[in-house]
Amino acid sequence: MLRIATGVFAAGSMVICLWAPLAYFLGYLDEALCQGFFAIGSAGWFIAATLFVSAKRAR
Amino acid sequence: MSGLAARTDKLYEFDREPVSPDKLQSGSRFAGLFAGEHVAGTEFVIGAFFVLHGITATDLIFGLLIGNLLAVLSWALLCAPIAVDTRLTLYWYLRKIAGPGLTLIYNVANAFLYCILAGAMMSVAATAVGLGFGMDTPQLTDVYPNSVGWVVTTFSIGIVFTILAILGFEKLAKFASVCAPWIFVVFIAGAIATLPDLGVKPDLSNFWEIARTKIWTGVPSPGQEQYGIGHIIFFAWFVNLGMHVGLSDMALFRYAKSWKYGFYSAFGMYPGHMLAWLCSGIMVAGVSREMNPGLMAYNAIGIAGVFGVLVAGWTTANPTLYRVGLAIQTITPNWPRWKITLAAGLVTSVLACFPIFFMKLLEYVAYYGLVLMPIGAIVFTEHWIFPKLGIPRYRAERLGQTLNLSALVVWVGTLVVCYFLPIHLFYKWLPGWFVASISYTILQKATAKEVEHA
Repeated sequence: MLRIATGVFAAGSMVICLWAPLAYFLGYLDEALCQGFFAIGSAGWFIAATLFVSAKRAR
Repeated sequence: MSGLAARTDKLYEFDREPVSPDKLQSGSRFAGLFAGEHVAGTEFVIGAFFVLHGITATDLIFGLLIGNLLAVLSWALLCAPIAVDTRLTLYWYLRKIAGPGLTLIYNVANAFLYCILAGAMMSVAATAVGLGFGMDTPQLTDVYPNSVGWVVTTFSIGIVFTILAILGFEKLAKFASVCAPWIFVVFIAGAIATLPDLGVKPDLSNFWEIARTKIWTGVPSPGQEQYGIGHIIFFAWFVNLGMHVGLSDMALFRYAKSWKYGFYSAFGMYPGHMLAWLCSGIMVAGVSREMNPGLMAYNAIGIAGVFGVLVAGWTTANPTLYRVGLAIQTITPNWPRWKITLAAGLVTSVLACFPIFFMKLLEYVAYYGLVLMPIGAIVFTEHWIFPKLGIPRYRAERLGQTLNLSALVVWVGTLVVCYFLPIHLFYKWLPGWFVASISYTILQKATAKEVEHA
């Protein structure tokens, strides 16, 4: 269950990382927001991916 | 020499036996491995340098398509078939052919080359950290450090990377594998976020025009050599020459179920190299062609981008430091691992302070492949050509030689011939490969009776 949850969280974080610059390019976000969302997505990815790897190893 | 060689053998003892059928890996594993391994800190520099060398957009795209295809074919048709046939690493196969003495020399040469690569990655990471201190990044033509700030930052990063490698390589390698997909996203996101600064419209209607006039303009930066499609084809082909034509990826493909798994290298070449190089080219155009990976990423996606450059530099330098340590272990008996890694890290950190290794990365990569290429040619010839010509194989093993002198002569001789070839550095390795293969065949044929009588 933890693996699925962290997997979804990691994928969602990655989507944010890609969505932010795309939204900036299309004019929906300004530069500061784009960079902020990218930073949030990146932090999410590292947390989720680390948890995912730990859960996999524990199993 | 034989004492040193025995220690080297002991070090690689764990993979002495051919891989057993139950250890073979699935194709998706190879796809993942290649996709992760070929998006690294070097990519920030390589794609940017293509822009600085004045390549045109069309030449770059076609050059990368062709060059990466040639690289994939080299993995699939040269490296993977020998690996699947023998199920051995290059180390153990070369030992049968050329003797433990030559494998030792090969290892030490490889370690030295790895040191420079790790040093260049420390320099890349320094550009990211230096942003926070307003540090002056070296100029494109700089050979020596240009400021105390650069030396202090680069050396400090080198020491931090070294300490991290000492603290635990394996755990860090696992963390690095987590970073790989994110680093790939840093490249994509960085390029997308740079496009509006370059004037690309949201409907992409003027993308090609901007690409031709503001990114890959065909005009080199001052002091940089003009590159054409040939340079790009050959660069994309030889950037991993030591791995495919040089056969060091036998270590990987010995776990493949079929030689066709060599084609999985396309996952590293196209979404990896090709896309990452295009993205870093866009990013460097966004900072007026300033060769500063930290600034490129910061300008595109802010502080997370800076972190991306730092992590990319570190994830490339970390396994490289480990490999250097492994190779040096053979000539430093009874040294604990931490001491070896510390020594390798210190040497690498000093090298990192010299910007020439980072600013001449493309040329360095060419030399790296060139130096290791003759060994690949020797092994290829021995594996495929000798049985067809009736030349006895595995001379060193059969004669109990520490060093197959003709292999050493061919290796050194090929490099000398390549040095004098009146062609561009990027093209030298290809005729060199034929020189090595033909001269090794002639030498071994001439002395075949010695082996037959043994």
